[in-house]
Amino acid sequence: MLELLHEKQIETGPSILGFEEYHTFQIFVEEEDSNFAYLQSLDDENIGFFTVYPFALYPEYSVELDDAIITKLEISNEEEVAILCLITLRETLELSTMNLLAPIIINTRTLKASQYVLPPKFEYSARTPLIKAAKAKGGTQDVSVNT
Amino acid sequence: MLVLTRKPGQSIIVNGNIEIIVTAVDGDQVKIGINAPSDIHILRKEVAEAVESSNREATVSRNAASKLRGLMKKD
Repeated sequence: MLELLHEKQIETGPSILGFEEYHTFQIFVEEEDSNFAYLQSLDDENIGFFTVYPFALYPEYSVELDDAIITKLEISNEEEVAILCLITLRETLELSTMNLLAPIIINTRTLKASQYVLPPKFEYSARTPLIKAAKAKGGTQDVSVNT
Repeated sequence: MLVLTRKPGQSIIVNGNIEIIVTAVDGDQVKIGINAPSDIHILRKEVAEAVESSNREATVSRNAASKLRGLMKKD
């Protein structure tokens, strides 16, 4: 799914909460499973995030983008949107989590990106267990863009 | 901290272009409306804090990320 983003550089601006000073990340899609990718900060080599294409683990996941983010990322249609969720690795897979509350939204055409906190009606957690999600495989991207 | 007293329906203007309105008061709950330009990012503080702490926990070196691959294979 994410192959086209491999080695691409995305500009997040100061949108990643707690990491506002890191603006540029390079995407390294995992060779073995292209639903996973590492985001390497180009501002500091020690900073990076392991991410997953959330729909692969969580087929019923859905995201709705508001006008502000659509404008900010210059999104013109749903097809050019890619979504990644940050993974928090812990001691075991069972304890590891993914952040469904605040996904990284990427415009694959302009490579502008942003962490986007979903509005209150989406009751997703920033610490959704990875393993429950890992049971289900497959799924397609459900993102609505109101233009 | 500046503290202002407002009644429902009254508002506060910040920086000339952000309006914060007390829309309703019900017991210990206050409904607040905000009119602001779309580039002004508004979050409930506890949500912003939850995302920030989750982000801080998530940051990991590229080598450490290979740990997940190991974990997933074991699964």
